[in-house]
Amino acid sequence: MSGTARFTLWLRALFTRRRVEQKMAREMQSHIEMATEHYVSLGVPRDEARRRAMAEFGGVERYKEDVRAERGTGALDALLTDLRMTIRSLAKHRAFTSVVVLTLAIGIGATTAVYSWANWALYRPVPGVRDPGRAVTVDFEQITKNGIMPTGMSYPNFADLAATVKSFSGLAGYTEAEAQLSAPGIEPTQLDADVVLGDYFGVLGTTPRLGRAFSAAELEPRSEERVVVISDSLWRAAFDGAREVLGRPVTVNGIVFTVIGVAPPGFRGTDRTGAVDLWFPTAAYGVLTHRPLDLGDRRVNAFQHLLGRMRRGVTPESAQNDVNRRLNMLVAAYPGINGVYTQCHAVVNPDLGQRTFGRQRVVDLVQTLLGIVALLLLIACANVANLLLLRGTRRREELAVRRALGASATRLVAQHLVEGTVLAFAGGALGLVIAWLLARIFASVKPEGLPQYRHLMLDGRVLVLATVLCVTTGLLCGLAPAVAALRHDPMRDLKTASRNQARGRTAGRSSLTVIQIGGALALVVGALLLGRTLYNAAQVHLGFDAEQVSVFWIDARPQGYAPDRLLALRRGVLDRTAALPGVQGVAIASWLPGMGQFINGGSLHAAGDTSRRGGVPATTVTVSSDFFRVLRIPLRSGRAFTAAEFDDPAAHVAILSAGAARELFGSAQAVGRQIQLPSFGPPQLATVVGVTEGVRVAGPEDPNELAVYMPAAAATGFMASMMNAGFALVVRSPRRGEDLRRDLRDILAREAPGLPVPTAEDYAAIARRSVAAQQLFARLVGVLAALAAVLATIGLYSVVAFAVAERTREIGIRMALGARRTAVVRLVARQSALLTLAGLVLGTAGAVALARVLASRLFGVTAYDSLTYGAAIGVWAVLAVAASVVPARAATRVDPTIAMRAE
Amino acid sequence: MPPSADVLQGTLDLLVLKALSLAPMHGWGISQRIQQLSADALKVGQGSLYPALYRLEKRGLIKSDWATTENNREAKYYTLTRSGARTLGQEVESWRHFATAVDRILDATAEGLA
Repeated sequence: MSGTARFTLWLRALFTRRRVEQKMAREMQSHIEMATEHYVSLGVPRDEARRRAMAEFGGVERYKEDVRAERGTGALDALLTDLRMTIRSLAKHRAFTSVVVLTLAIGIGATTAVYSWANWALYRPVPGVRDPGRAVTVDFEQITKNGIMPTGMSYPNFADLAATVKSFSGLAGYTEAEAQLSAPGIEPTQLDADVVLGDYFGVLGTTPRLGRAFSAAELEPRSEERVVVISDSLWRAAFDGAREVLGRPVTVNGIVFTVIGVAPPGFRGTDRTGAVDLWFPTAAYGVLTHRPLDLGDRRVNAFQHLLGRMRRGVTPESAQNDVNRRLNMLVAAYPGINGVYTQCHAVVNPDLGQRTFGRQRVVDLVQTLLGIVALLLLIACANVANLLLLRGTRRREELAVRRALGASATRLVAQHLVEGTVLAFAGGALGLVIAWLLARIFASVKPEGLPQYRHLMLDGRVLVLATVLCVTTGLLCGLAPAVAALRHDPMRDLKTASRNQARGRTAGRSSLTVIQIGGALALVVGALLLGRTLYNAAQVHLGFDAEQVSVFWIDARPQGYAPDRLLALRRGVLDRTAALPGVQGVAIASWLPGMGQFINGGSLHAAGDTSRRGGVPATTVTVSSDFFRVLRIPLRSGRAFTAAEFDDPAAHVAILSAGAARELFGSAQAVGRQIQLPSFGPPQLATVVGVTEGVRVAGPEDPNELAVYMPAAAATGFMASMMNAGFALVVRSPRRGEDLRRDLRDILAREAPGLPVPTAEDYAAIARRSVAAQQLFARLVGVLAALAAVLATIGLYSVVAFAVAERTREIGIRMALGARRTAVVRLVARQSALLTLAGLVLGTAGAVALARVLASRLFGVTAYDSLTYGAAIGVWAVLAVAASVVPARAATRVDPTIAMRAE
Repeated sequence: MPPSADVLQGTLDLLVLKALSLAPMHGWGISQRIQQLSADALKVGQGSLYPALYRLEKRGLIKSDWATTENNREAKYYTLTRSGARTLGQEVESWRHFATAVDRILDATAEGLA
């Protein structure tokens, strides 16, 4: 027979399976009938003849299987049969099935949710880009002694590069800018903007959904055209998605631009973590930043990021070599200006959406979370395997019958594996629902520096993972019972039909229970360590009173106000806010305690003291006179600033934190001494007029309290623009949120039209922001630990309970012979205690490993804190007792007579 | 029942083909015929008979059809195909060859080797 003919037969055999199966049964039936007739004709009574015929034929099922094997569809047939049997039996045991499916769903769901989130944060394709496989980023990295620094590009260097590189069909670039947009009928809004270099939209293949991209003339570095492309989401939100948006004037940073296009839906710049709403042509950069930049000048390295579209067949490596060669030529052509590039090399990254900055943090978080959910999944698997084993023991007789009827060992193993897989896929399906719910929780929190996650993203990668998880867990869960089933001697099971020689076979279940207890203990320790961290952090006195304080961040930087205009704005906002009803105190500050160390322009020195090499790394803050009163920071000596000093540029006064004063002057009196302020410009001296108590500069977990305060007007030049253009308005008032914001809107509309009105932030939340992230993480680990503990307790309970059930007869005999109840309880408790002990030993090792991973997140407690470990172990001891008390009590209530009869 | 040996592995196909070369037959008939032809010396276990029948059918040496027996019973009848008849010829030839060789060995005596 030819190969194709054979294949056809096989296919036919497969599809006509049911009919063939019936015919096979009929053929064997007819055989037995003929044999019966034969014996009858020899004079044997019919019943005996039939018995003899059947005995002679042997195990019908086994022959059927041999025939199936010959037909070549055996394996598949068997699989389908197993599948049907499994589903039927699972449907019958509803309670068992729901527990198992739910357990698996929790494990698979949690893993899928975390992985899906990670996948979204790290690998999501950039929307709106055509053929993203050929779109790459080109970065210029300068290797300095402080590490790798990104280096920008000027327009002329870019243009030369773009004209000479052969690997790219197009090269473009962009740099980020802050933009404050206002237009008639639109409330001023703070937005992210990109200023583009070259044919940005053309290179990305991003076609505006409305209007057009920039023309070649508009992209000239000295162009006077003031045009802007807006995002689809801004178009919908601010312009109601109206076509008339084209040609409309909008004011950005005080400059009027004309809208010429709307980007396609979803496109928010090339960075995966970005949310860009406005795109400007090259020449807009100087205008938007209010700096007199000539972007046609080769020295102005304004553009940070280059993008390229590689030609077909070009690899990122060869493209990178190409760019580096051209870069060297640029250095040779302009050695003076381009000297900086001698220590530079270009890096071509094939992932357009990935900015390396900030990525590591996501990777760390993802790894920790994935490790934890994997542990949970392992515990879930162990639990399910345990339950399957228990059921396997109950089904031993059924299995024995099937084996006696001739079902092969492979078939029985296969059946268990199929059962495990079916359960895993059911769990996986439910797991997707759980993953969806978890994703909504992820979406409800916005981790700083990470993009906003919206909903569960199921792409190929996640689905593959989910499937692999299902198959793996299925096999893992099915394997133990399958092996257990194999080890049984069917004859003995049939003969005794009893369960009382189960001892010695519980090894598999016991080790699974040990794994569960161990894993759960590790998670409980982790959760307790994090919990103590949170508690410790909450106990720390921050040095200021953040209750009932609202903070508004007023960012006037993009507006490019002159220093006196800025001073007037600050004064006006301060006075008008102070006059609002219900306001108890108002202050302005360039920085707020708890936000983290802020060192600007170097460190602090005592005037004339050159002996100290490094100076004091103090956080430098400009504040208004009421700052200390509003935040209730006590003065230790001297005085606070006066209202007059606030806007007096000639007031060279400063206030030190107690720690900074001690660092500079030791135990000597600091008030009245001269200090040299941190400064980029010429040395700036100030007289210390006061010393305050310390405040935690970087949140409760960091003891750093070094700070130097000066009046707002004292900061000059670059420092002034860095520190004062964006400032915090600190309001102590029982009035909060939107209520207060409405009043501020009126004030800003008068003082600085076009300036976005910030949202009200609760200072108490800002001050403990570092803890908030911890809180989320701790809560997550806590929930997982609780789940693991519940699963492990169920596991322990079921093992002990089953062992008791198996030994009913033995216990009955013992009690009939006069054993005391306590002795029986001890018998049961011993097993439970041994399992728990082994689990705790394993779990302590696991906990140490987990705690080492968590170490960087801990505060006020070490990774090896004996109290925590003791408490966790104590909790487990209680759980273990609870899990064995019920079965132990059941054991003592065994009625000897019933127990004996039960067999 | 007379003591009977299970058919030697590998020779079953040959015996089935031979039995079918005499007349088309159903499964039970084949086993009976082999037992009868061997004067009850050989007994075909059903466990190997049906797989063998499917194996032969798959190789195209026999074909099957449902028909009614003389007792008005539905049964599956197997017939030798032409390819089966040819194979039977070859197999018989090689079996004779083999059997003769084995006989020679078993008949050997010490004197014969001297």
